[in-house]
Amino acid sequence: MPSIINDNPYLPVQAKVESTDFESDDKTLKTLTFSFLTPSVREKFNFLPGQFIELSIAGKGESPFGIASNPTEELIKITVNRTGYVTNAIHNLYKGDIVGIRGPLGNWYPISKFVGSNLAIISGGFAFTTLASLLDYLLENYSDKLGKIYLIYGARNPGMLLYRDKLKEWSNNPRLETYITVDNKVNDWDGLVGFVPDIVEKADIDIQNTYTVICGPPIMIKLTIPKLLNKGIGKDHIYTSLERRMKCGIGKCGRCNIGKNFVCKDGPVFSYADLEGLPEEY
Amino acid sequence: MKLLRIKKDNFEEALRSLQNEFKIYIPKKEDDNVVFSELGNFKDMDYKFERTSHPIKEFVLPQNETLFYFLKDGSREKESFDTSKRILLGVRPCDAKTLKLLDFNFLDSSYIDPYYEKRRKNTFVISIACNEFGENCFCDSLGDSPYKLNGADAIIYSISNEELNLLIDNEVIFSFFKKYSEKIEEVNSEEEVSEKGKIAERATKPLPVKELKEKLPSLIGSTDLWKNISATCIECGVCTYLCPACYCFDINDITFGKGGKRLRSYDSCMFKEYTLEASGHNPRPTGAERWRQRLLHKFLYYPDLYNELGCSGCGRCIDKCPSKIDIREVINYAFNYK
Repeated sequence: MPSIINDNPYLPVQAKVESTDFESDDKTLKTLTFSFLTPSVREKFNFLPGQFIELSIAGKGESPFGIASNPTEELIKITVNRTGYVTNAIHNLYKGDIVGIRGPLGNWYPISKFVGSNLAIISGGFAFTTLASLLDYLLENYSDKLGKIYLIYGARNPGMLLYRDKLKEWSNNPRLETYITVDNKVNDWDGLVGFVPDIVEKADIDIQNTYTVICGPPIMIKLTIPKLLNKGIGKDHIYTSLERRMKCGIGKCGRCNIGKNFVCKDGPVFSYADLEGLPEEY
Repeated sequence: MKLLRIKKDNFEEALRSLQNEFKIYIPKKEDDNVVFSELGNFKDMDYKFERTSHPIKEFVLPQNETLFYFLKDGSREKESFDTSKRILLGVRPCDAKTLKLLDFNFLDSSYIDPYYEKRRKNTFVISIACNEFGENCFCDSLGDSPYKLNGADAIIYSISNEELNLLIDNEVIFSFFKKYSEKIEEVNSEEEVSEKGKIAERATKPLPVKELKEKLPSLIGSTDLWKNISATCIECGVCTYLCPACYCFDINDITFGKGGKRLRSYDSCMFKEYTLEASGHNPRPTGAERWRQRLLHKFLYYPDLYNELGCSGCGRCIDKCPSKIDIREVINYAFNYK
């Protein structure tokens, strides 16, 4: 496990807000980027796609967020849904404000296993963050080491899709096969319409030697996994990243366990085979 | 290990010399509770060392603990560590054991908890063998014994009117007692000590904890079992607060003026809010899932991860449960469930 940047794992490292931008048209999703106050910290902050940070605002508290930026980028990027006390405070941050970052925490997508195989990235809603990081990172560093790459990504409506500039770029990238979908038919949308599990079922995925990584709301994951199994993809070839309420982020405070595994420390990335037989507490 | 015979007067002299370096805590009656409080007047030393109402985890994991102080603009963070040295005198063997159980979590090599580590390093335990069983304790039913060292630095075996037997497994503690003792014997293990005084004995009814561990994975989906177990639970959380092996905590910020502190406090898997997510989704929505978590954590996950139960049989959860839920009955009920 790569070391967290501070000797005391509870003590955040100070970082500065570099940008804040609304990500969704309804302004519930905001993307923020951060730089560390001490620039040399960034060199030690080695992460891989799938890992997360605990972001804190002094006096407001701390919450976990998957890292959305490509590890090779200088700034640390997250996308935050405005839903509770801490995320409201994060939405109220301005450029230049000081926050605390703990991390990088958790494990990452098993990229070394994907080498030589096809990869289908499946996502719904704003869980797309760490998968965007993964896709960016793979296209940059593993383009010649992977087979076919599929991106299946859905949101409630076009205004809720994350990173739309990137999506445009990926849609035009011949290296990728993209299926971008929205739940219902709307004006000015000429892409796919339908829920992610149905799009997965219809998508022409080469199941031979294919790994899948799937992130989204629990209901989407629960409905999509049977479709993948039906296609003949093995349980150990289906990876997902789980979310749970977290506090410490380092496997001490107890709340995020599924079976004997902690989502924060042993996850958040698990294979479907890992989760089989455990309480379905996610 | 050294077995010492010490006169009570000399034992107290040794404690006085220890007090130059350590704070010594002994069980003391306060209203309806027995709590560890600092030894001031030696007249309080009645040598009964009753089992305390609260577990000793408070000395390594306080109910509320400041992690660090900050200014609200985020500009400064100052850690807060407790490095005071203390001796807990008169700890029951079941409680002594729980420090080991907590170590598994907090000193786990992937991340060491610095707050716990510093307190733990400076906390020494002199326990006392039980000469009778409490109303609800059941360490023997879990295969443990009420007169074992269980990781303590020393244990008092027998006390007469004039003297006591003390087995010491720590060089630092021994250095304080050696010049006060009447007789010192070198022993290789606690089993070698023949004269343990009057020890607690009874016909033990073993609990099927080993068998339950094997069966629990197949009971995960038995919704009715968990519903039945949790039916009378009011989810007050007292069982987890008083459990010496429960350690779950919450982290929150408290502010005052321009600054504040980040605080960790006990939390409980019996609370709905423990796993409630900001979206409203709760992966453990009812008491049934929460009870399943509590039982599985102690009797399946802990043995799986660390080869020890997450329960020492102290019985506090039975003493204080307002709904009279008895963990021994729960273990038997789950084991016999078809």
